[in-house]
Amino acid sequence: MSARGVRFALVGLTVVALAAVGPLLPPKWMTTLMYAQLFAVYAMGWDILSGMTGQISFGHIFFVAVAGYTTGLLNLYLKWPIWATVPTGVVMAVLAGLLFSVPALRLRGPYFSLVTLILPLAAARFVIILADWTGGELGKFGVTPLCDNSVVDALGALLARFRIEEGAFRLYQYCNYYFFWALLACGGAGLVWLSTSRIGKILEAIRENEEAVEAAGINVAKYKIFAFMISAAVVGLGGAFSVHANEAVFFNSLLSLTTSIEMIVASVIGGMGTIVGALWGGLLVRGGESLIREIAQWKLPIGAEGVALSFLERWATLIFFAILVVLLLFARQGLVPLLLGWMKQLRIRGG
Amino acid sequence: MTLLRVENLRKSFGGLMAVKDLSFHVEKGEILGLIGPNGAGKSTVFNLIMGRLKPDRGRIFFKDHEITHWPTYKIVDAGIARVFQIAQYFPRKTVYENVEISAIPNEIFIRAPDPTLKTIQSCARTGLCPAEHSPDDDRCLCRTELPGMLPQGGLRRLELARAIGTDPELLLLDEPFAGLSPSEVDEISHLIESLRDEGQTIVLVDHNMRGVMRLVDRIVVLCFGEKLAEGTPEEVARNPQVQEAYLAGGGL
Amino acid sequence: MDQILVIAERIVIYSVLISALYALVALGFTMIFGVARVLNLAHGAFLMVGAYTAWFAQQYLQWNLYSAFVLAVVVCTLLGVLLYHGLVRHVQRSPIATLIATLACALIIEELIKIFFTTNTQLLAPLVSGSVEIHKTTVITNRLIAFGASWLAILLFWVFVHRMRWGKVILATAQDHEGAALVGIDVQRVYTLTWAISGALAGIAGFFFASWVKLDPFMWRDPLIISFAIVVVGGLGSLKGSIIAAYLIGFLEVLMTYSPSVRVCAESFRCFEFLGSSWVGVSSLVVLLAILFVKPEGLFGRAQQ
Repeated sequence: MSARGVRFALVGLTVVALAAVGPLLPPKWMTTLMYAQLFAVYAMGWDILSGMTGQISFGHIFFVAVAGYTTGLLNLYLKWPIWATVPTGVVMAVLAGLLFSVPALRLRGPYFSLVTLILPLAAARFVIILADWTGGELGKFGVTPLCDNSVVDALGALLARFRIEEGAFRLYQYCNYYFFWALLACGGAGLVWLSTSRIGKILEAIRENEEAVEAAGINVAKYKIFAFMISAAVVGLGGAFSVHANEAVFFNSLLSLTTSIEMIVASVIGGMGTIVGALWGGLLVRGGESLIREIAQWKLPIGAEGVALSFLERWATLIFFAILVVLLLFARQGLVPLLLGWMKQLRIRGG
Repeated sequence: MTLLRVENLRKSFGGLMAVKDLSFHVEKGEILGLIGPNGAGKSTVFNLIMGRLKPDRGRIFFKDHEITHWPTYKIVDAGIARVFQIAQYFPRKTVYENVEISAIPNEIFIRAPDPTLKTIQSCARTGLCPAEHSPDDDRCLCRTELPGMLPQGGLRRLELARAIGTDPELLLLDEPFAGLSPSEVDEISHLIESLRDEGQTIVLVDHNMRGVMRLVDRIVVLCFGEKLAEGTPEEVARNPQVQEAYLAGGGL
Repeated sequence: MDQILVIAERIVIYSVLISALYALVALGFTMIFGVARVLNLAHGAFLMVGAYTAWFAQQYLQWNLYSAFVLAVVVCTLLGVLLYHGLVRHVQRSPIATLIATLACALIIEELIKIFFTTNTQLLAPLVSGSVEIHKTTVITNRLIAFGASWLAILLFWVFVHRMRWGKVILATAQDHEGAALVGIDVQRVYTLTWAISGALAGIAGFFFASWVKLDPFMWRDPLIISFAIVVVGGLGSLKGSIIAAYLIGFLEVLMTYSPSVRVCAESFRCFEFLGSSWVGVSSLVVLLAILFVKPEGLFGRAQQ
């Protein structure tokens, strides 16, 4: 099977698994997995730019914020409906990508990365200055929900045909969950297709030797900007929908530097440039953090009273940053290339 | 017909004048040798032609279009390809994938033809694939080998394959014989001659005049960025200035 | 008219004071960049560690502030060496990996601070409390001390680099790594010393920066941006350039935060303040973004050779 086939298969399996597992989970975990899917979309969006071209963006959350705040504020103040706010949000994110990529790409690798670090920090500053509009660090509530009553009712009616009875809250959850599931599936498929197309080959080549790509008659800047815009669009789409799913603009969801770096963690764990790696890495990071927080509620059955693990609660995020550092030191390629390597070994030995 | 024309080219780096009022032209179908000792500015001339550097003064014409300030990719698309002195390749991609990049067109949104055929042709033409497996066979080594595993001669072939993959009318070869064993020199030499026989125009840069004498049709001799002499190999060899500055006692 | 003069005087005096601190903050960062060619994104976090160490010593160990200061410097020096030998040395072949690694460390330190000290804001007790009147401007005495200490540290650093043996060795290595190795300089030792000194400088800066602003787990971001802006404007590892850049950025910062702010309101009485205290930190960002758009090659222009 070709590399493209393998990756489609892996994405397909993951997507099927997520679809099946979702309704089986208790509500708390279903919500967690929903947000994990959103984060996986962020990670994949990051990967198509930074993993593939090697231009590492530290501030990708900036595009989430541009799309998210545009969407939220248009809905809150101008009462635009979802099908208007979300595309506008995405367009703004893409424009922002275009605006910043053109000067920034004249910078060499590390300096480009540093400049991308400034973007979310500057945006955060201005969101706070404009707090009366944006809600500042607290955010603003009242955004139209993603799944409104008519959708929930329709879903209820559909399930009733299969003799499945579910309460409104659960239906609402299903709706949101499968919405982000669909985003993940389409995003994953689309980005895998792009990354294994001839455009993907050029992007990877840019990562390895820009000079040689230019010498092959390819306008490197054009492809870098294209990758930037696609990346901003994917990430922005996730951000725009998340605002409606949360029914609010949350500062911490839309401008967290930690989330920005977690995108890097996800991609490095899974294998930069593979898209599938970012998908798994994203699910792993968010799922893992939630799992650790869950374990923090337990007590180890050691000794008379048991050992409380509550300290783990606050260590969840840190553990993943530590994993990143360890990977950078010892295993920079990540999971998916490792897996592909094993599969190639099996194929060569068998064939 | 004149394919390339360089007029009064000048380039300095800080205080150092690398190229000084250089003018020469390249005729279609010939092999031109750009010869000179190390530091004479030969690679700089290539960099200027390919748009990697901008000249301080002077103009460059390709097929009557002025390309002096064009970006590199545009010059390549117009029909000039360059083989680097130190091979520029993609270390983590296979030899086949390396050559494939030049077969991919510079367009994002159009439906492009499959680069496979072109890639296979380039690989075969430059002898990158050993005879027992053709390049479209999955067992061909160039599908699994990384450039780092190639000997110098193989790397040169890789560079040539990447260059001819862009369908050039003019090939610029920067020190193609550097670091090669005598048998490899012969092979590459024959390859260059066969390319010329197919109609390819070639400019060759080297500092070893003896080596390229029988290969080139005309020579331009550079010394400290200036043109010292121009003409057929025999004429240039007889030129007293050239003999003094360059050959200094060593006969031809 | 009088009002304007008072405000102008305040702006001048405050910017003179804070710029010295900014220069000190950036000093460790430019040093590592100039000598080891590493952009240490954990630099701001070092400052934070210094600040929290001093606060911890004062609050929980009941030490006096002078001892707390010494502890802060020692801890940061060790932290610098630890980061170099534990991490940076192994990834510094790849500039991108180094950036990601040092940023990850900064975030790890932020998380650790959150864990052990919560996200509540803390205050470091001043060395000397009270304020002083300089002409018509009120200056907090502690800030005057910070100003003095900053200049003292900068001067001592200058003396070290230009007059003392190891300082000259570091300078030589900064200019030419291979050359230094060829004349028998142990480059590893130079790097260790450089990271140690950078850590120490960060500890000192952190202590005084903390007495200027409040302590919280996010306080490392502003010093990092300031350092970055100063290096960009002042040039690669140049002490004089850093000081001038610091004064430029410090002046801009004070101008933005101490100018009388203007409230701009839309009809639905949503307002925002143009200039004023909520514009803290904007100046560095504006400088950086401006350079990005006007002359991106000027961003580390000399460094890109």
